Amino acid sequence: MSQDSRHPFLKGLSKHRGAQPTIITIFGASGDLCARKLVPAIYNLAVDNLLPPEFSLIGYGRKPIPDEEFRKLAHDSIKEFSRRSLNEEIWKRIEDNTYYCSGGYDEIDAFKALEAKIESIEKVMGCEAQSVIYLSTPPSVFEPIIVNLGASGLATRYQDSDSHTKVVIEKPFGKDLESARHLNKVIQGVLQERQVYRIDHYLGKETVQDLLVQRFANSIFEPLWNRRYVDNVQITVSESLGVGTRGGYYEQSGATRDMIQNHTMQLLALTAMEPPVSLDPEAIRDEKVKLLKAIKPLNLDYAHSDVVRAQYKEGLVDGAKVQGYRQEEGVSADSETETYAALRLNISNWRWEGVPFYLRSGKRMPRRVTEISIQFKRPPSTLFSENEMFNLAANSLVFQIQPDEGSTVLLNAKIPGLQTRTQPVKMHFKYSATFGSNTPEAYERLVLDAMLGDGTLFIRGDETEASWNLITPLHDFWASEGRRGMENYVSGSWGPLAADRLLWDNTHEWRKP
Amino acid sequence: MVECLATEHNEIYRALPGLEVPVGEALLSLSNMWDAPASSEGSRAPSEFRASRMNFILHFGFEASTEESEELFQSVISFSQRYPCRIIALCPSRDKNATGQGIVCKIFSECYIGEGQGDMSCCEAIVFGYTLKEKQYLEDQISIFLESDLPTYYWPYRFDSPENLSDYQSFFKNVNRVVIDTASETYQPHMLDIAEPSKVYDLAFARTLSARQSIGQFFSVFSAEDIVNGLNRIEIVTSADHEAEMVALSNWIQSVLGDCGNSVDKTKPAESISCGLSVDPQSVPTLRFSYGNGSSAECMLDFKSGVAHLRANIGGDDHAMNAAIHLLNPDDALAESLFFG
Repeated sequence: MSQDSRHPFLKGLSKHRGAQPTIITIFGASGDLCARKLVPAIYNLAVDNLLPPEFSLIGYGRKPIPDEEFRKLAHDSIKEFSRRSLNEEIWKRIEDNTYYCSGGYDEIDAFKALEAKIESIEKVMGCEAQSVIYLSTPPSVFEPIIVNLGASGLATRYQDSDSHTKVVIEKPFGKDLESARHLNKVIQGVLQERQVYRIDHYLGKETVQDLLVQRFANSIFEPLWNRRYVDNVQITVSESLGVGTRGGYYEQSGATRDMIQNHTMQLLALTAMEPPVSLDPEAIRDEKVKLLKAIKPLNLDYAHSDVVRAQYKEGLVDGAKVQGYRQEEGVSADSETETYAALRLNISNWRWEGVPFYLRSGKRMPRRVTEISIQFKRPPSTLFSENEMFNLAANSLVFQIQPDEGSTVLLNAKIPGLQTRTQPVKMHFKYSATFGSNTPEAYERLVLDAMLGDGTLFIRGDETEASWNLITPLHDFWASEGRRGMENYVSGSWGPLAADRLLWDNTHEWRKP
Repeated sequence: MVECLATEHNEIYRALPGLEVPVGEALLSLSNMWDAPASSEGSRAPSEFRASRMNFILHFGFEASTEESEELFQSVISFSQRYPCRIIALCPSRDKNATGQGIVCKIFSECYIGEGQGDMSCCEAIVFGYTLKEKQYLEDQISIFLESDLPTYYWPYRFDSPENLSDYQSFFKNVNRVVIDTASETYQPHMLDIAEPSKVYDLAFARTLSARQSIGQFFSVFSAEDIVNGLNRIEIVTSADHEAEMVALSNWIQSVLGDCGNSVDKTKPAESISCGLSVDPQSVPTLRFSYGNGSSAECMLDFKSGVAHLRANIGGDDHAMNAAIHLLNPDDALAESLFFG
């Protein structure tokens, strides 16, 4: 909603201070995400006075839990996981308006009871309250929940006003193109697209949002942001942890489903998309979709393959010995699930034709890091040819998404002395040093934006399909190949040699983050 | 005329912390201060945490007491831990007739360790003492101590009149924003002689953010037309300790009601709704809307207990709400004034 169309009493307040009366219902309320992220996010919004005065929280789950017990669980999760310590007075205001409803996800009567609960809360509020439904459940129950939101009438409350029901859907959104299309179809049968908020929590991170600012608010970058000056782009999303106790889940997922299809592709889209015509959510999402659709299909031919997959084997991480993937709990001894994937993408548009985009993501790598590195072309070597006198590096601009959020520019400089010798030097911008730390968690921003009806940081249905459209043929190919082509890499390394070879074709090298 | 050092009759300069250095060596001394080695192996040198995101000029007037100035300086230091800035504090000698013998300065830096090493942030300040004789040179003299290209903010504190501040017009012109705190000043922001009045932001107004938010959200459930229809007057009662905030709130309410009138009929100039303010030491700050058509509205803003009691019967629609409110703390009020407001 633009400032001009807002009520005069809300003008002058930032849009984030104008959330309307809201009742949030979290499906999967006894789960880990609710305890670790969602409840602390709601609490921190309350600390910042960003919740509307008329606000209620309902937990919904299969397990019958009395209101009091749910309140205690929420209280304890804030104590344990909130970025700011628990203030009992602030919690009390949320606690007084916190409830729990139990029921199956396919029981229409339970949904009707939930609707009755929402209406009774609204009656006490004495005003029209929007319903924000948060699906924090396993993806297998997304469909029955959405169907029952429709059947119970919860989905169509205040359909024609700003108080319409908003449904936030956690990842993963489908497991392939077909399932994503099917889920989108189910959603379209019940909800309008403006009611749907598909989450990729990476988009809630300050540094990811800063990407748009760095790209489009700085005129020095835009002239260079194309095939004339950019040599290649590398996006790395690495974790030092293994699958831990989530082996069973990970076996169904793998690195491409878990990280590349969603987070990494979103980073790619924001890095490479054309400037949107405005900051309007649809304008940004239109450009992201255009970019995703411009990616050429992956070449899966072994001789010139654009992809590498691998599993971690035994090795050292942080100096400690760790076991291989196939020895992990819940993992099959002949598992075909990749814990590492590297992709070489080519974008077929005017700006990027011929510039390879390298994406990689893996577990049990040397450290947890997410970064985007823009590697620029080298200057003509007429003055400073690269030899023992001149240690020249290609210029690069690296956005560190996590940890140590910030950006770094790599330049060449003269080493002080009578002779001209050069050395690469780094110019750093570090978020925490410049702006201080304790920035909001991604989920705080995303929960608030959903309450405000702002979909900028959420993924549209066609975005998920465009991204699955690229990845699904890869999965189908891997499924048909069994373990053929599956590489191994030592835990604590940056991936298999085959991933290095992927870049050698273009005489490129992976950056060591 | 008496020749006088900038440190004479300058209790504020003497009271503020810092290491006195010749003005010409201040930048070098500051750099040397940061060049201290890391305290232990594996730790990082303080210079790695040196950051400036803006310049903040804190200018003390003759009405500022030493205690107030020390407190204010500390609050700006605390703000700088969250929003790193180069702080420039300007302290005039109180001897108004003295001719000067130059400007003196002190340098100060402080690191805030935080909960982890990633949270560490460091800030730095240069404190200047000057006599009024040098005020014409002041801006040029301090310009070399400002981080170039970064925004600059200016807080003149307790000058006895806005006229006295007009001697420092160059600051008004060249800074991004001027903040004042009407709770400490004897004038209102609009009385400053400044070419761009929108640059001036009142901290008292910033502190009312949560009250404005609650009032805004409460009244936004009524139509703009119903809110202004039949409204005759707004009575504001306040205790003395919240007078500045309530004056700022009443100005805001009047402006919002003007917008409500405008949104109903854009062809008619907005009528000004009269506003009366009275101070009652015993009273909880309250806004009462008097209507001639049976409507009514009241906002009791109990900042002490942190609750706003809002109720209204407007256009036949009855509504009541209790909301959490608080006056923003100094750091948040400054951030609101400089960046978000």
